[in-house]
Amino acid sequence: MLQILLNGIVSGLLVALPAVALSLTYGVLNFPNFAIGSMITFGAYIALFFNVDIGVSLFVAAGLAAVGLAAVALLIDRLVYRPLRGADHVTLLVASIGVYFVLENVVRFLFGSDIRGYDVTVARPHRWMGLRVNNEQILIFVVAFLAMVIVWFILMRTPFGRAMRAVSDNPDLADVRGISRNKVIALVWVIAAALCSTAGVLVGMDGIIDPLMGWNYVLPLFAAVILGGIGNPLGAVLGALIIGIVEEMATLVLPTTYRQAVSFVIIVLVLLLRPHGLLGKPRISR
Amino acid sequence: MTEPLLKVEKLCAGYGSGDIVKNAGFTVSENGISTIVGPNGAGKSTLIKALVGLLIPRSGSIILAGKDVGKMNAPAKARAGLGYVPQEHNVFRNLSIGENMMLAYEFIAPDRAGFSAARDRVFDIFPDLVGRESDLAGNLSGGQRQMLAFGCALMPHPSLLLLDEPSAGLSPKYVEGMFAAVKAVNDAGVCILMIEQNVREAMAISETAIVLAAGEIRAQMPAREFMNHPDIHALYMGAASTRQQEGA
Repeated sequence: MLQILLNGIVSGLLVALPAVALSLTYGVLNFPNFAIGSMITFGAYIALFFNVDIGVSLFVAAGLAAVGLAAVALLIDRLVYRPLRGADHVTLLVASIGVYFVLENVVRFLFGSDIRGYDVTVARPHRWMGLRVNNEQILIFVVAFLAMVIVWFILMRTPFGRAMRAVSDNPDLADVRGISRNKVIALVWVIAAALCSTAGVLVGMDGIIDPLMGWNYVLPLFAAVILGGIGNPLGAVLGALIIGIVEEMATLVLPTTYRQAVSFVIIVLVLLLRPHGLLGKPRISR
Repeated sequence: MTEPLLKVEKLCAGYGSGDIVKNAGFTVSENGISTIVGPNGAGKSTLIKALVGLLIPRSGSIILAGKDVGKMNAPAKARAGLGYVPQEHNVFRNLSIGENMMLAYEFIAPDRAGFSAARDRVFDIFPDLVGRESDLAGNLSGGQRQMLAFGCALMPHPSLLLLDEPSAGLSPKYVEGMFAAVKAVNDAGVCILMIEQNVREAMAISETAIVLAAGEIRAQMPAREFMNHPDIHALYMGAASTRQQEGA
């Protein structure tokens, strides 16, 4: 039982990273970025390229992947989302579905469709009070936790974080406050890319790397964001942890192949029972 | 005669086809309060959006303190010294009062050291805000929110403050306080240009009246002269626009 809880928290943290990214882009750009799945994949593959093909350590490769994916995200924004700025969110959602397919197929074109893995030595899991914990899980825990503290700090304690929340709250007023919307949007993409590529590398370390690896996360991470309250990064973290734990728990009673269905059920239940999510104070709107 | 602080010439602006504001031209001299009045649908909101940069004018010029800011976007105009208090949605509701004030300052005013002085100045004018920095702005009452919006616009020391119907939506007992606040801000040395529906109250504190009807500036004259005008109705409806402008 404790083992399942632990596994759930770790897989929840893996979902939490891109969930925070999704929540931030939703808040500032006002559309659900479906391409988030392929951003995870793309980040994992950039790290794979540097780690396996160039031969740098995975730690350095992960850093380069964050930079690389940020550049890709900024390029996509310039080419796709910027011309559509101000379009309604369904248009942008559809555009992001297009971006998803393009990115996934760029990965297939460059790296092939085979299953790959990072160049890391596999260590035996530690045993601790009857729990089995492997190094990857510890790393996921530490990295995800640090990443979220950093994002929280940027968001709550720096001028750019305030600007991000301002644009998310009231874009026109942010304009007349001298805040450049395009700079804020660029910053959001950089943070989202860093979170997604980090998640991609962690997922790749813990499991396998293939062009569909990000796709598997799309459902749980949308479920996490909806559960936590759309556009609320803190809620996204909470939602992700709950999704992770519930999915692990579900394996007790359901065949593992139905794991994904759990996210679906959660989305449906939340939308039916509490549409603004768990931390969803319905946003003050008078 | 000194150069006016704001000089608008042949300004055209609108949405889609057709202009809503047509060839608007007027001036705002330093230190006073000027009020734009006009019937509903005259284009007042469009005019102020164009002035602030939320709507980029199609043609014409906006000269602020000798510099043409007509084609600048809103953030650039804010940095050029144009403050703006929108009619509604004029504070960040999900941010605290302190954060609202910080945001109003940090992206416009270059020098960080001046922040606390600027905040103290705002607190002097609006003592209600003192000690409430950690409260969520969305929880303020209508009148208090208007004060915060006002205070925020003042934070970066704008050379001209634009107000879009500051008394709209306020209960009558707040309206008087609002105009007193406008006057207080002006007395603190900030030049004000506002749009207002409460013509009588607005004119009581204004030096200049600017009449906008059907997208055109019909007249600009001293406020006292406007209130004593024998035929305000004609001004609004535009029967005698050219004659009145000559008389201004």
